[in-house]
Amino acid sequence: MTISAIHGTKGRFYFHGLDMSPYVESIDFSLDRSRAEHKPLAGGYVNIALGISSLTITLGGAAMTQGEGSIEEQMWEAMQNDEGHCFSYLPFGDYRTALAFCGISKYANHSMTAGDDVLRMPVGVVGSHQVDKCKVIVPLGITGISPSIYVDEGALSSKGGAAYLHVTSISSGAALAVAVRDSYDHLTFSDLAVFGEVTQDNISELGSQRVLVEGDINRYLRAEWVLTGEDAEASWFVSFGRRQ
Amino acid sequence: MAITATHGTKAVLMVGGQNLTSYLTNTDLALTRELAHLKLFGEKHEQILLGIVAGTLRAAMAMDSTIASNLFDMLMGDSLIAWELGPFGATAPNIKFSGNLGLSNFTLTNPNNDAVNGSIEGAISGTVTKGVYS
Repeated sequence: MTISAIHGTKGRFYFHGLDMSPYVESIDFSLDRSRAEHKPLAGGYVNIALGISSLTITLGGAAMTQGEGSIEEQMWEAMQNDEGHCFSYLPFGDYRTALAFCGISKYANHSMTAGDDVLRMPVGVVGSHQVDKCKVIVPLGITGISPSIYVDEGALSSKGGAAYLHVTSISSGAALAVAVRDSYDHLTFSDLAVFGEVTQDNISELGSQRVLVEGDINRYLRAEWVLTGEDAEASWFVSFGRRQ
Repeated sequence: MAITATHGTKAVLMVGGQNLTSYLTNTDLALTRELAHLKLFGEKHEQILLGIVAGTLRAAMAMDSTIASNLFDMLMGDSLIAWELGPFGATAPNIKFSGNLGLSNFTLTNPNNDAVNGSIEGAISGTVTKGVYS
């Protein structure tokens, strides 16, 4: 099998309402499963039983900035937030159908380093609950025309899934309502996951959202949205992960 | 006696039915037997008793979307997965080692000066079989 190697700089990382890619110099994603060992008298070999997964993400070399919407402001708020925020890690770039690992992350260390270098703040987050393997439906960018092009996932799935939304900016007076919809024939679509409406007033709370879905999910997925307000503009991203 | 050394890049590795060979940058297999140390009164030297075999298989590799997706699924799955390593290549009569493992670690890294890369680590479970390619 021939590899399609990708340069590391294609990677993207979205945390709540912030695209951290312009700030960080590297992303390290480490997913672990605990393991229990059974060493019976007869047999001669260890028997392994796999346990709980855990996730750590380290964002290296982050340059620190201040002010509204800055990395420092967002991470400071994150440290105060007991519930955590959504993250999306795209190792191979952000485009429709791209692979993304998404979930809920919590931020527990807020540090900074000032020396003979750019002012930096190391960022490490830990995953909480299930990490989803997702496909990008709408890459991060300024609003286009609804609906999005559909993503064909090949077949219906029956174990539910999770939809993820990140809104990195929205103009004053605008309101963005996004839904992920599914279809068995890519012609007739129905609501699958509906996100809460996002405005400038509530973006600090709703700048990222995860909506869990149970049961059957049809083969085709797309996003549909309504953006209201005068000269309204918003930058946002949607992905969906089917569970196994 | 002169030996015929083999370059490490000849190795082949299968994990979970997935041929990882063309992605690999390094792989290692470590098998150890637990030791019981018997230090008896009146003796000058300890005796060693060999016990249970444990092992770890590691692989470092370049990553693309397909292999990253597959490795994630293997780690999150509930079953042990098959592995096979041929350190000298997959042609007869080269030796090969095989068995089952539980994938316990999967990493992905985006550096700013290299390709996307990552690694896996598996804890070997049950018997390790040594055979030859035919």
